[in-house]
Parts: sequence; C-alpha cells; structure tokens
Amino acid sequence: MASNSQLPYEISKEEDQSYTFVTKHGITYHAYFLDYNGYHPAFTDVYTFNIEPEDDRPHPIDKRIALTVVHILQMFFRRHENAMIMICDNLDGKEMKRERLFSRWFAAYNDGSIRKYDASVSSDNYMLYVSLYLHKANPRQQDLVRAFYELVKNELYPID
Amino acid sequence: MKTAVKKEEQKNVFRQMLDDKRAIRQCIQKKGDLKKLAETRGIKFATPV
Repeated sequence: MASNSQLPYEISKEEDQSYTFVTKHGITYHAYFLDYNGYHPAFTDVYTFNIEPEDDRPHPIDKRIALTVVHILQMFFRRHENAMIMICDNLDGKEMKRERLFSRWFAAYNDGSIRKYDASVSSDNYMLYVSLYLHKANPRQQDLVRAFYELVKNELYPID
Repeated sequence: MKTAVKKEEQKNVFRQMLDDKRAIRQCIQKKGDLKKLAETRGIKFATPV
C-alpha cells in the first residue's frame, strides 16, 4: 500500500468560507483568506492568509500540514493576479513563530515563481513584520509593490 | 500634522488586520460562529481557491 505521508491532507470548504483539514493527530485546522480590499482600497485581488488549529495545545510536528498549506497556496497562485499580504507582530510570541514557520515553508517549497517583499517596524513595545507575496507573472506586479511600499514607507523599513 | 495622521492611518490598517486575526483565532478555538464574527467586525472572508 502506498504511503500518504508525502501527501497533503484532504481539504473541505466550509460554509463560513474557511477551508478545513484534519491531521493524523485529530487536530482540525481552519485555513482562511481575507480580502485585503476591505483594509485598503489600493489592493484588489490581494488577500491575507492564515491557518488556525481548533486546539491550541502544542502538538507534534507534522510535515503534511506544510504540504497542505503549500497545496492551498499553489492553487491560490495559479491565478497569477492573486497576491498575498502577511503580517505579524511579536506581542505574544505566537505570531513570530508563525512568521518564522511560514518563511521556512516559503524557502523550502517556493519553486522560484513567487516573489516576496518584506518590511518591518518597531513600535512602542512590539515589532510588526509585513510581507507581500505575488507571482512573478502578476500583471500588476509593479503597481502592487509600489502600493505596498507606499503603505509601509512612513513607518516601516524594507528588509533586504 | 497631516503626515502624522496618515502614519497613524497606515499603522491602523496593520493593527486592524492583527486584531481581526486574533478575534478569528479566538472564535475558531472556541468553535464560535465565524460568519457572525465577520458581520460584527466587518471582516471580508474570501474563497479565492
């Protein structure tokens, strides 16, 4: 029998507009996209993406979660017009862990087709990390990158 | 003054996103109603895949 250890989990689309999958340890994850146009009118076809487990307790490392997230985002970027903005802060440490995990996944699984632009800012007592992801064939690439840095330039500093 | 207001608006965009993410996280962990949360907070969920 073929092993499924290298396969993403099966994804279900829920009525609440999230996508769910259940891991081999029985943990249900919700993956969701938010329309960034709701936050800033300059960004159409731009979304923020996140995954959340229903159970917040620590659980074993599961490579298939990464494969599932990668699979969702591969489908997302099949439409080259789609772009993604990710943001996290370090107030409670969890966001930073997410950001680092996501960056690791990006480094490991990006086949070169996705471009990433980073910025960060320190505020009174926290750091903000913001990243723009878009396909290299995105027809609005220049406009989006310009709008992204316009949004961040006064307070945030580009990360090389 | 205008620059200061614009800076605050830009920071508020990111701050709003983070606050929404936290609210969504709490809702998921408490097995709450995401649709209701979206209506209450004006969050626009999307299904682009």
